[in-house]
Amino acid sequence: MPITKALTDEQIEALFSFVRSKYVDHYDVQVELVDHLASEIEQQMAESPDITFGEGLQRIYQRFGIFGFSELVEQKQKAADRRARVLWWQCVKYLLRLPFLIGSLIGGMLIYICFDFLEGDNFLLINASLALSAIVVNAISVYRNRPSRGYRLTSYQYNGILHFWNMFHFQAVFVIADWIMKTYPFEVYSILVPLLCWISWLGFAASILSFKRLAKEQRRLFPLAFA
Amino acid sequence: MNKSQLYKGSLTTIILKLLEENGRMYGYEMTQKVREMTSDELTINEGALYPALHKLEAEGLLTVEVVPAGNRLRKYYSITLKGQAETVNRLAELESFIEHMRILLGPKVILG
Repeated sequence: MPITKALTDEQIEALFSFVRSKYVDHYDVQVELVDHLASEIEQQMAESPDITFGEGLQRIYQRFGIFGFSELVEQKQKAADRRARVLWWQCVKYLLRLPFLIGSLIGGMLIYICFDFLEGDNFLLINASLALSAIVVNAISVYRNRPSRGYRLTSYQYNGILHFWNMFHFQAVFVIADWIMKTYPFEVYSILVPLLCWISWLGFAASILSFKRLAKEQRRLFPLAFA
Repeated sequence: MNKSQLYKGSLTTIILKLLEENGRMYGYEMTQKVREMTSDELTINEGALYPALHKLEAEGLLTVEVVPAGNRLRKYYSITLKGQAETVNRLAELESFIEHMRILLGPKVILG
C-alpha cells in the first residue's frame, strides 16, 4: 500500500490558481475541483514517486476531456438554477399548508377587499407600488448578505426563479391585469385581477423564502465566503 | 465512463446505490470505489461524475456538507430519504432493462 503524502499549502493554492485560469469562477465549484485534483495527484505521487506535481496535474486534467472544466461548469450553472426552482416549489407548497395557509388566505382576502373598495386603476397602482417596495427591500437584503469579494457562488448567481418573480411581480402583473380589465366584464375581472395579484404575491414570497433558505445553506457550507 | 457507453445512462443509479451502501462519500472516493469494485474494469469519468452529482443534488436526492480535509475543503454527498426511494425505483427499472436485454440477446430455448 503506497504512502500518500499530502500536498503543501502552496500546491493547493496553485491548484486554485489553475482552476481559476480554466474559467472556473465560482468558489463552490473551485473547492470541489481542487479537492478532486489534489486527491488524484497525491495518489499518483504515492504510486509513482518520480511524478512531479505538474505532471500529475496535467494527467488528471486530460481526463476531463477536450472541453476541460467548461462542460462541468455549464452543467453546474444549470443545476444551481434547477435547485432554486425545486426549492421555490417547496416553498410554495409550504405557504399553502397549515398554518401558513391561513396567512396566505387572509392575504388573498385583503387583496380582494382592497380591489372591491378601490377603483381598478388605483388598485393596480397601489399594488405595483407595494410590489416595487417589496422588491427593493428584498434586493437590499440580498445585496447585504452577498458573499465577500472574490467568492462567487453559483447559487447566488444562477437563480432565475428569483429574477423571474421580481419581474413578474412588478411589471407583468400590472400589464396582464390592465389587459384583463380592458378585455373582460366587471364580473369576470373582479375575480381574475385579485386572483392574479394573490398568485403574484404568493410566488414572490416563495422566491424570497427559497432564496433565504439557499443563502442559509451556502453560509453553512462555505463560511469563508461570507467572512 | 470509459470501457463502454452502455454504462453512461446508469451513472446516476450507480451513484445513488454507492451512497446508499456507503453513507457519505466525496467525488474522488466514488471514482476509486467503482474502480476497486470492478477491478479497474470500469472507471467513472470525472467530467460526467460531477454534473451527475450536481443534478442529483438539485433534485433533492442528495444532500451535501463541506468539511475541512487537511489544508483543503472536501464536499461530501449523502443520500436523502427522497433519494433512497428514487434508488429503489431506478434499480427496479435497471433490473427490468437487464432482464429484457437478456431475453432479447440470450440463447433461444427451443421447446419440443
